[in-house]
Amino acid sequence: MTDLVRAPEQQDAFARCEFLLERYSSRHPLSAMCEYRLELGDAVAQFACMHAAVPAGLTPFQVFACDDGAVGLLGEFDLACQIAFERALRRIQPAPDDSKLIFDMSAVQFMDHHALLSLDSYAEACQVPVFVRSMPPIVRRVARALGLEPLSHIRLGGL
Amino acid sequence: MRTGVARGHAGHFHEAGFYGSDAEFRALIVPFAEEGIAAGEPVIIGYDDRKNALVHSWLTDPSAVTFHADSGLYATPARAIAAYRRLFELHVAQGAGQIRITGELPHPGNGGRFDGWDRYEAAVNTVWEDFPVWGLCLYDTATAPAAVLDAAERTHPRIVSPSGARHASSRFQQVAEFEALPPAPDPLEQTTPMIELVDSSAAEARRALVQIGGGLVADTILDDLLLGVTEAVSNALIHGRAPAIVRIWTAPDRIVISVHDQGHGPADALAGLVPAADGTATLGLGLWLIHQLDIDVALKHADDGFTVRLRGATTTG
Repeated sequence: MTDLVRAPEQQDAFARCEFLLERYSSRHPLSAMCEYRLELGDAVAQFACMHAAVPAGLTPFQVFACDDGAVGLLGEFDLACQIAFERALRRIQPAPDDSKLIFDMSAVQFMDHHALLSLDSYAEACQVPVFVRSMPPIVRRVARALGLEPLSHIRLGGL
Repeated sequence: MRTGVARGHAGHFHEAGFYGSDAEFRALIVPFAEEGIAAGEPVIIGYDDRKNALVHSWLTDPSAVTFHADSGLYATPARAIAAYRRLFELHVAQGAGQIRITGELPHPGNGGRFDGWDRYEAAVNTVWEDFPVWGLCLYDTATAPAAVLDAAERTHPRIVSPSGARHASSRFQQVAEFEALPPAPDPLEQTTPMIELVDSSAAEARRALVQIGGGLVADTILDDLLLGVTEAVSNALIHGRAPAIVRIWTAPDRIVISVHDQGHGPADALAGLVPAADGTATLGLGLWLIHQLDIDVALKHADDGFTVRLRGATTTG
């Protein structure tokens, strides 16, 4: 994959493609292994975070496709990876036939208010309603402390 | 339209009164409440059970006022500011021309802790300026410590005496120049911490806290401490001056965490008490969020830098 993502302008398009492939392979008999040279530096982390399975230590969080079409979030989301998370969110787009987009938080270990507000902003801009399911207690705590108003665009549930 | 001495005043009309007996307490609170009842204004009264009962017995129509015995309203200064704002919004939406509130803050003389409440008293001179509020803060001179009474004089622009006489407080300090009382030091801070992290990431601080505090405190308190240390470390790394040092201590009854950097800390006197003083969406939100949690939070400005101290009670303490 390395030669496809050397230039910054290639990276955004390819990351969107990676996530579409991730969603497709989660629901079809397709397994893929994407290889990137570590010489790409930050770009490796950009793409690593868009896969369900990655080597340890490459990224603090992952955005991946669940078997039922939901977008899975995994790991720790705080200010240290805020830019990366917002960039990953921009690369997630609902499929043309999606009537809603569901984020599954069951594998989230930690999420601070920056990430939660970014998710809410994403929901505001998304063409389809955005739901969040399996929100861990610590993320619910952040939402409750912030008050409902700043999170007016995320809906809970979505099963 | 506003009534009483606050007539014509815009925003929060903030007064302090000092009493040394039930008779003086009655002389201060009854005219305040009766005048509000007569004018059809919302009157909100929040004292301990004994004083609430006294006021109830003194008023001609106590059913016309709202008594708050719930100490939860005063759980933390930031939460009290937000809770009152919601209450004011409700009353204004219902057409109230003025809202009268009177109450007593926690301090050692009534079994509470005053840490942070001096900043609250200073802050409410500005953060409720959108509302026609008359706040009468009554302090019991027989029980309130001298430092509390001193802060009261410096945070209230007006003083009312039991005789009904009113005067401007000569010691009043605007919120931007208010000299806050230093938080009482925790004895553990003078001892060797269980762990000390230098320029660690927030994630590393969280891992250390889980290792030390897991099982020691309730899960909900551990979550609040994790959120608190994350926000404090993120602020120190971005806004502070290196090195950022995280220290964690434990005792049978509490976990204490300090996050220290060599910077000056936030210059905004309202930092942590309101979401964002400058009107931006997220700046200052982290510090405010820490103050919404069920943990004790202290901000310490000193010559050697700025410290956020977090404390959570253990399940066995």
